[in-house]
Amino acid sequence: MDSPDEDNLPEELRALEDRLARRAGPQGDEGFRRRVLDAVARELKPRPRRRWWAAAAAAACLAVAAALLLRPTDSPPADRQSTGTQPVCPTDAVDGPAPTFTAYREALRQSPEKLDEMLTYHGYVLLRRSADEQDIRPRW
Amino acid sequence: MALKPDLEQVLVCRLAAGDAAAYGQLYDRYAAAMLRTGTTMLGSVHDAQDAVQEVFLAVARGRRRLAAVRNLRAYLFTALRRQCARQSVRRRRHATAAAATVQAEPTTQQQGDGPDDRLTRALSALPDEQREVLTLKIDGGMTFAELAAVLGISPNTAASRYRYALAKLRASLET
Repeated sequence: MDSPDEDNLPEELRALEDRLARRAGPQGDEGFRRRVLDAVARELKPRPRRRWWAAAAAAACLAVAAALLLRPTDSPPADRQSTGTQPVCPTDAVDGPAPTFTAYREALRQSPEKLDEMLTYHGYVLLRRSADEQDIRPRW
Repeated sequence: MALKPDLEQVLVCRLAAGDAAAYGQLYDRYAAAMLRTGTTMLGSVHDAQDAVQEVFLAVARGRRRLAAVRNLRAYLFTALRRQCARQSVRRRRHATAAAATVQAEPTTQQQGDGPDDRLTRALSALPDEQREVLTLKIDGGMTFAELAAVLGISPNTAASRYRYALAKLRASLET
């Protein structure tokens, strides 16, 4: 049923495949080979510039972290005198209960620093009360 | 033409490790076929050389991902196909811009009238997808299964596309 032309088709196509495979094509010459492999070798080399950037980025991160850690924090009123800023006042405790002997003894039992802190605190409270009564503000 | 699977894996490992000599072996094994394929796809030896160089550079740049590669030939020709597509788009854009001012020059490949010149002309007249299948199969030495993986089609479609391409090429050579 196939025409003669159709009968020969597979052979013709095979011949065409051979012809395609044998056709003249570009062969990478030595110059091109060198060009490609040199470019690849450059790509394979470690990059000092990248390392430099990584070091710079790490240094910047460290600087930011150090600045955050070392920035001034809230300190007791006595430490603020030199800065001239208004201290944060324990307003909620101004009208609190008066100190008792038991409270001082408990504080001393914990540590001398705790007692010192409590005395300073209550000294501030008393000073604040007397300032309120005389309508004057303490000078820090 | 293909390396034995275990030898290919050794080569892949050396490439992944950044062994420069392995890139030389890769070039010697595949560059000629890649250049022929690239030239057929792009119609220019110069453009094909650029594409092949880009593929080798991309392999070197992405060498840490090579460990996952199971078929080096398919990997390289997939990369080449993508690179050729990118260059075609770039060239079309460039040609469109240039056409506004200058008449396009005929390519030197279309000038001669020898048997190979006629074949080249007939090849370049094929639709892109048929030309691609033809060159990947004949120049790249790929199987239909590999072609299917590279082109994202079934092996049967790859085979029939190849046959259509050959038949069309034969017809255009007869006229």
